[in-house]
Amino acid sequence: MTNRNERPAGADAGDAAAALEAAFAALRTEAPRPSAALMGRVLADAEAAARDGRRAGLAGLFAAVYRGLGGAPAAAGLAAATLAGVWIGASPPPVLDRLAGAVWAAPGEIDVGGLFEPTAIAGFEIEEADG
Amino acid sequence: MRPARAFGTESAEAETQLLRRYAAGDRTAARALADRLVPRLLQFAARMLGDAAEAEDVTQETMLRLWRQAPQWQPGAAQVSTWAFRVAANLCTDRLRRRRPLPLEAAPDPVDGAPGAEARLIAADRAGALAAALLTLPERQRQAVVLRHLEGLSNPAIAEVMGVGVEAVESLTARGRRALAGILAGRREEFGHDESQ
Repeated sequence: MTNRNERPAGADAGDAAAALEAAFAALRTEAPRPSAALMGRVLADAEAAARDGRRAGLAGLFAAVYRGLGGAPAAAGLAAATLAGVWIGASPPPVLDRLAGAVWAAPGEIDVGGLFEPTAIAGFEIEEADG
Repeated sequence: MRPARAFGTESAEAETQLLRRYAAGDRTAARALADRLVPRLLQFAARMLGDAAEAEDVTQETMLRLWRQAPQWQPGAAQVSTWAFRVAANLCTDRLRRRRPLPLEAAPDPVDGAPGAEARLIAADRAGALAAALLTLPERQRQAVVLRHLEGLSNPAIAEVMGVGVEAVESLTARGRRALAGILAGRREEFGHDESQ
């Protein structure tokens, strides 16, 4: 250790630089270490962000499909067609049985008589005026 | 001085790969990336703010923003470390502005710029004295000095983090070093001995 009052003035700059470098080195060794609690919070955030990202990705996929179909009008048409399909499937009109029979019948045995009579479609009854 | 450790090509690519793996659902990648970045962000924020709790908040918020950014991360757009330090620097700036109505650059006397700074300088050891002295520097000088001399970033990397040119970084670090050397010299005068020995 040296008394400052006994040192030549020219040594001051060198001393200051050396002291600063030594202080930086000391400070680097005393860097604060992350606590387990902080690391836990950071990793919990990572989990949550990944979960949110997956949700957003799925929503984005649906949005892309929706846009690809043509938006609301196309989606409405698709929904109507789907409902009609379900309805026909649940309550098939007799004409379908006959049509299926005609399709699956042996060659030469196709009978399409009465296939297209309006009252033949169950669930789609058309009221006829009583004379 | 330590080499610019975070901005080597190898390290930068490793961090980018970890971020991609995290975005693809790899949990171990999140842990590995946090192990790399959290200590450095915490030190940077602690030296900028001088408050451990606030430094933790800034670190957590920076990492959260990184996690959220991961799915949209553009390869080659920025290095992960650079991006993270930039976010952390901005968060620190926000907190410092909320804390003080006047910018630090307006502080007339760096030694007396923070309450109790002189008392801390006298009482603390060499590292503590420098940590306290850092808090008296104007904010931009402090950023540049911490990134250069504690985090070991290169001047171009610091320029990217701070959004300034390399010459401005050189000027900021030089002024910061001069101010710190003056403060530490003053402390040596108080103790009447030479700490560099």
